[in-house]
Amino acid sequence: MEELADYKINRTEIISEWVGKYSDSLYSWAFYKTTHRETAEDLVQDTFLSAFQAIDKFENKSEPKTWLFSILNNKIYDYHRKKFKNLSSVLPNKEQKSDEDFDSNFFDDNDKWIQENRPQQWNDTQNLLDNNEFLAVLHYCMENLPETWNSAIQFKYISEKDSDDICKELGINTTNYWQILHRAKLKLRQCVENKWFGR
Amino acid sequence: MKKIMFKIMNLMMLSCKKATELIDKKIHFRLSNKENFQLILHKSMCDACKAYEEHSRFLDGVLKQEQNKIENLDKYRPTEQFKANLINKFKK
Repeated sequence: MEELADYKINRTEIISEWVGKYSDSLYSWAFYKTTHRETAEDLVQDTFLSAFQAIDKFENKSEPKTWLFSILNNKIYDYHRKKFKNLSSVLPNKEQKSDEDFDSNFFDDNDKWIQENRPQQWNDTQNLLDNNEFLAVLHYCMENLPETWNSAIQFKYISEKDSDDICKELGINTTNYWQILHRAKLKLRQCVENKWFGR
Repeated sequence: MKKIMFKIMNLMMLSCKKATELIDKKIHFRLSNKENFQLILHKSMCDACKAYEEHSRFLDGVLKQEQNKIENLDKYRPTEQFKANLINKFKK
């Protein structure tokens, strides 16, 4: 009985230490990926709860931070997957109808690029990943996507699952899925070009 | 003969709209041999779609890797209240 109590104290101490050390990083990532304060708080709290329960499975071989991030990423994945599923069941037809309208932002009647929206040359892309201003622009552009598309991109890139498995899990057909990713990419690309590379 | 050649060429020609679709499809899934060929042919003639592919792959790479870059941004700090509550939760 005493051992059990010790164990619990020990576990509590470890988690408290981790909260102190890692909650800033975990929170900033969760907020960046969801842009809702409360959602980010919930996800971080759930992460620590899961870690608390599964602490026996944590092997000291890996960094606690890496382990916590992998738990958090699973939760962010689930959050966007559910959001995507809910939103696409509420408004399946609305987006279909606007397909032609959407495409006409980019392509003319012959399906060629509209002159002013043709992709331009992007210069100096090498170091942009280390450029916080660029990442802020990308983030802004992600936020400007329709919510379902935003979620589709978010859960795609946060997991290492391949696209076939994701489709199976979501129960959607692969054509629908890549077309969503494609439309999102068209819009995202244009936004980044306008806001960052200038015209 | 000319007519047949023309027909074949037409069959292999993609519009820019279709080409960009295939570019993104290729990033996430596989293309058939025919689609691959059509895409190569189109890109050899269309700078805009060639640029589109570069950009799409570039954004793909950034989205995959951004995690390591973003987690220490100061502007998204949790409140002290939240952290205190969190620690209290485990003390019970």
